[in-house]
Amino acid sequence: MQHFLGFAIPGVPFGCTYAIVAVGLVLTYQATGVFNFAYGAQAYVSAYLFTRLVQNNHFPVWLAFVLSVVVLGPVIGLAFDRFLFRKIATTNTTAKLVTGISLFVGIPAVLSVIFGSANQYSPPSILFDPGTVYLHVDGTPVNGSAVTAVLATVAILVALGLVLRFSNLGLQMRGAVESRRLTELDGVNAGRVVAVAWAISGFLAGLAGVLLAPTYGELQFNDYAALMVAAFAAAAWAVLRSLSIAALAGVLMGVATTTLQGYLPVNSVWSSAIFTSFPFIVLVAALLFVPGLRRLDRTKDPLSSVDPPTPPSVSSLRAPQMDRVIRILWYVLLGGFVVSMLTWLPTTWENVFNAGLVFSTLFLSITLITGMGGQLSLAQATLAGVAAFTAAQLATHFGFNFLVGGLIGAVVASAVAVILALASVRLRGLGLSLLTIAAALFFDNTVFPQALSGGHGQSISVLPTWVGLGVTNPDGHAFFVLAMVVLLICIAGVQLVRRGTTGRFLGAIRGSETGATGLGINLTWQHVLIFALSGLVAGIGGTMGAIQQGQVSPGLFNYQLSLVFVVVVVTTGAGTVEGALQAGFGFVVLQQLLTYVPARFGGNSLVVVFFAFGALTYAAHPEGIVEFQKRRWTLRFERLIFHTDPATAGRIPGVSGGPTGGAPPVAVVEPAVGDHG
Amino acid sequence: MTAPGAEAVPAFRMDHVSAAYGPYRALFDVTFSVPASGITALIGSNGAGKSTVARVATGLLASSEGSIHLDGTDVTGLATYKIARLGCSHVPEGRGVFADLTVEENLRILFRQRLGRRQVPDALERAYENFPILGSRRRQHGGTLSGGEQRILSLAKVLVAPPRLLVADEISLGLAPIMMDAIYDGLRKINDAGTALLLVEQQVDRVLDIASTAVVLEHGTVAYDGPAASALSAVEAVLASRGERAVAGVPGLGRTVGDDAAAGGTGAPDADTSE
Repeated sequence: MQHFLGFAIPGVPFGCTYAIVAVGLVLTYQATGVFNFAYGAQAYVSAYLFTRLVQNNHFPVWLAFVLSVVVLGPVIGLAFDRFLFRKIATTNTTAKLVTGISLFVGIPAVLSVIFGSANQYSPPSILFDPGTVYLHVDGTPVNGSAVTAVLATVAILVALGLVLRFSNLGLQMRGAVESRRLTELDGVNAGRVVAVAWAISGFLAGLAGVLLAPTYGELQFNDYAALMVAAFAAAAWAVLRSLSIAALAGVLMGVATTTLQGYLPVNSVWSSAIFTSFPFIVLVAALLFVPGLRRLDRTKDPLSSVDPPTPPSVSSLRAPQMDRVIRILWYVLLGGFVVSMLTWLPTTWENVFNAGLVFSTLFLSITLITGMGGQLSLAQATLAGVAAFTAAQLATHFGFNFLVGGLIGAVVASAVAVILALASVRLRGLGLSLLTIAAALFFDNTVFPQALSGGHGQSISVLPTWVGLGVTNPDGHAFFVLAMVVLLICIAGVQLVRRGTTGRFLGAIRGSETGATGLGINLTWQHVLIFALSGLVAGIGGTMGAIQQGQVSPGLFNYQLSLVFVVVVVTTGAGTVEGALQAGFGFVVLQQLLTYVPARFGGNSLVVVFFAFGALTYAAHPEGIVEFQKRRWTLRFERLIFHTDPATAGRIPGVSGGPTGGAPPVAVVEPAVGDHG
Repeated sequence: MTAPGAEAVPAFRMDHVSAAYGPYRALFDVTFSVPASGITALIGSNGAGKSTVARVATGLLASSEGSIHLDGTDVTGLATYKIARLGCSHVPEGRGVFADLTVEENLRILFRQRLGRRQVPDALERAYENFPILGSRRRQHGGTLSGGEQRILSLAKVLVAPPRLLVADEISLGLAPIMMDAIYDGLRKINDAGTALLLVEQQVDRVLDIASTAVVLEHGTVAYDGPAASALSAVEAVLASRGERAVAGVPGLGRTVGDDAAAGGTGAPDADTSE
């Protein structure tokens, strides 16, 4: 018993921070319908500013706390609401997720652009000194940051509980999340209710941030990302509904983590990985066993038919002549590119474009799963890593050719994807994204460093002799030819799938799951199939990436890259092959161009910032902002060159329409009844 | 306007209003009014724009042209909650209750807003008195009620806290006849107490019985605006002049044969915004 408490008590403060974040997540979700992926980033911003104000600017702790938590926290929440989420309140889950993910990726990048990338050390505690032991519970020393965390958590949860239970606000929040319109019909200012919820959740994020900071010696964004997964798990067990269950689950997880760690053998694989793996296990268990999570995306606004229908994609509106012109331009561009690569381009740029080919291949896997499958997978880099590591292990131990090993690896990655797909058969949208990001973190922290890399996170160098084919210098012409051929094969494959039965079935499912089922399409099978294909392509891309980088290491395939990938592809257009190519080349070319920018402006962080801002436009332009602009210009040229107008040609309904010349109205629409008992 | 009280400021007025769902236009130059303390029936076939009128009236959908007045106050472009606070209630078509809130919470949101904290327990009691079925299900979630019970819940709110104008969209849809009697009795009662009613219905016989004036919509335009008593014959006359045949049961107001021909057959996409 002595042992148990000794292990369990240090977990309480961790559990308290999990609890606060989980409560904040549930609160935001309940009041706004947004699962706020950026929550960890909000916490990190407050913690960063707090530490910086105290240490670099020598502010008194209370003042720094007021500025970074009491003021900045709610301000960030309100800004999210006002400038982003309010505009997409009625859109689908994917748009909200993408917006949250771009914030999650973009905010730390913005911070490092502003303040430089140096970490802050030994963050201060807000109340009690972390270095002092204040009391002993059953012989276990409890220091100042632990006391602070527990006291603050209890105070906040009690205050919040009182406010929500005994004020009208809580009721209005729950009403607003189901249907803002219905609450407004009751005379409630739903916009204000939602804004208040954002402000409160922003404050909670900031508070959790500064509470967590002193428990680590160094302020790192990664710790906040791990905190998020723990909070996801706690919130999932509360079905994103009950604040008290979320808080309880958070505390229990903290306690369970340290207890498990205590009982596991000290130097074992699991002991070091438990902090990051345990939340994953809890989250997966919740996703599998809490039935309420499967229905999350399904309660819908009874008044949703007030929203205008989704317009047809502009690509389907292009005139056939224009299609021909564009196709010819593509071939010319391709020819010019191949010739340039083999003749006059300097080595620097040849390397950049080689990387572009690799990324394009990898991004095709996102075209498959997000563009065609309509699902947001946050583990694409992980799948790529599975293939690369498999290939490297096969080459090291059995002397396989790396390309053959890569193909086997791609099949293994595909198998991992299938397992993810099977685990998420009943999940859509949010649940699926949570499962994939949890899996990505699990691989990052446990599988890659412990199992696949052949010991403690070291990288494996890819020897030129493994590859053969004269690809001695990974960045030379031979590699270019190889990467080009692989990319073209993948493109052909994706196009085949897209134009074939599977593509049409998936299109039908994206349009209406109910309708697709009615046609006899097996949703589960299509779901698994697209995951398998996407895993295969990601695996091929990962292998090429390993050859191009000359090594395989866990850092090449971490979850943050998966998030950045999604953000990048979504910006340039997840729906088309062109989008994946633009993403691949845009990503590397921009990176290269930014090397000419002085390092103090943030270097690589700027790339992330750039694309994160691009992805924030996702809600307005789900086809991708780049794609959207491209289409717009295409249409403009079309008007100019061929004098055809898609609107008057009847390809865009009703845009220039309305009753003309006294004729009866043409498009009269009254949305039909929703569902009624 | 021959309705009683038409000389006073109308409870609700729409002037040359047009509205659209994205690129799909649904209302064209609609003008009509609901007399003070009067009952106006808004009828028309499926897809004529009735619900759109109701939504524009309460600000759920913004009008692209024209103006809307509530008791002489210009409410064009006002947020829904502000219109609601001016005393306009809208019982939407179909499910109009919060599925995730209990029956009591559904009632509480509105009572708290309209009557203030003190009046809430009293108002709840009156609601349960008038509709015992709600009392017995007060802890049940709104989503678990049957369609009729949901409609009663929506109506209970307005009956206990009567607004100045009630816009009721297909309030009797799918209800048992005995339920319908109860609902129409309730409507008459709040009308006697001074609430003006705009009743959107496909069940014309019932609604024309209690309405003083009627507006018939067709393809998003007003086809008839006048006394309720002569609405049916007027519609039939219009249809007859176009050579259309009424579909069984509801004269002139079912989906008529030759709809497309009447719409000019311009080949516009027959878009449907519903799921």
